[in-house]
Amino acid sequence: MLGMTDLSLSLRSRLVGPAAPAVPYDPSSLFAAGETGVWYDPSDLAMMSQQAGFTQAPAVGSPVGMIRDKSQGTAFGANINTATVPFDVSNDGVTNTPSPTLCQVQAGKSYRVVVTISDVRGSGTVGMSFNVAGHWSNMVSAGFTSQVTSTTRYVHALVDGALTFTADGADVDNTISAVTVEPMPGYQAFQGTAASRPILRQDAGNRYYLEFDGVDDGLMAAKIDFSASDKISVFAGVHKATATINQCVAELSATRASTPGAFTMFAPGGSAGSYQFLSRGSADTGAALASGFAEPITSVISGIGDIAGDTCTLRVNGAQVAQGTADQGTGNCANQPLYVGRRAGASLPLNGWLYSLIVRGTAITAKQITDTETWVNGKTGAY
Amino acid sequence: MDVFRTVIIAAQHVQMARDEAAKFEGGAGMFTTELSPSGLAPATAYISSGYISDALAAALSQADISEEPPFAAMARLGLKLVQETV
Repeated sequence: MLGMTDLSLSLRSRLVGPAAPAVPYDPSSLFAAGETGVWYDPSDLAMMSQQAGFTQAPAVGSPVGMIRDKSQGTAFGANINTATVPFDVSNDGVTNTPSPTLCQVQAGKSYRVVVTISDVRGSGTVGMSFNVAGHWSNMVSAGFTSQVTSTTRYVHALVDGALTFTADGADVDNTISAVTVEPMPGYQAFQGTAASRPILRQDAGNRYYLEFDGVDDGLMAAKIDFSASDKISVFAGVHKATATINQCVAELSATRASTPGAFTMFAPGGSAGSYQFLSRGSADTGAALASGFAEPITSVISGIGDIAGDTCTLRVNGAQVAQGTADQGTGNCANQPLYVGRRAGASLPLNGWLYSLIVRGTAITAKQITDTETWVNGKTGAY
Repeated sequence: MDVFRTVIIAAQHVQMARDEAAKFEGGAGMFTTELSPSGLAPATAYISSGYISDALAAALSQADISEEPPFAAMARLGLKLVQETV
């Protein structure tokens, strides 16, 4: 005999169909409306390279010179090269137009450059470089053999400017038949100095992380414009290995102390066994520090900054543990580089592991916070 | 081929080491981390630790070069990271 519940379910099923299965939460939803931010995911090996300017994906135990930002998707943009090809490469270099301008590039953005060689008439090497004022030269220059018919490089622009291309065909006489320049979505974090690249590792639970050595490792995204909002959210899955104070997980700007609209996340913060998040407007007063997390320890840390609301909130493993309510002054968040693992790429190094890092501008809901923390914990295994 | 090396260079030689390293792919930007016996400024040495090309490692002839993790190499030489203010 059917009860009322059975009849209700039967009627609902006929009217609206069975309930849709729950869709797993994905951090990309934080950026679905074009919100500014970054999402670095070391568990996605295809999104990383061993060197900042090259495409070879890392294996466990190898350095990571670039990790792509997944917040704005992963599809490359359309080709923006406006220079006429082909280029004839001889012993004199690009003979038809020395150092032609390929396109204009934008500070903070990265580009995939694909060069195709045809009509190989030699056995030497073709030296190539891509230059823009302010670029990090050793990231964007590379030689390759003339037998290679296509090669791909990443170019990271530190300032606005023209991207120019040069080639030196020592001992060869070839034709470069195509050069494409495709903008990469989002803000990639990279490291041009080989010795300062973090190492890709796996923990006992087979979770991937970036190991920062506490000495000179760090990554940088050249410039991220968070100035449309006075609110910022930072989520990190972190293992802090030592009690040395003020280890920098992430910082917007070279130093928050002198940069309105910046933030810093420390693990530990100003005392051993702590975590700390600091955010600010025109006044450097937003601070939240919580103790009781003795090293070594793995945690999901969240920092929520609100300049107009005068709150700086620190959450650990899904629960609020500290909040500062001092007046943060005025203004919006900063348009500054993002440093990961080391302040300004120069000091306060993190001796620890990074499982995930997500930074998002604009206001965030309580549900988005807890959903994101749960997702980060799935990559971290902290609680 | 890249090899893991911890490289510590005395402060008086650091600029020369930086200039030499910058000649190699991925070598620019090395030796920015300060060391001293007490952990206080001024720095008496600088350290870089990680994967570098074997050609670069061979070129840094005036440095202490080892395969040790950085903190082991620092301990062997009686050096600490210079603590920076926040």
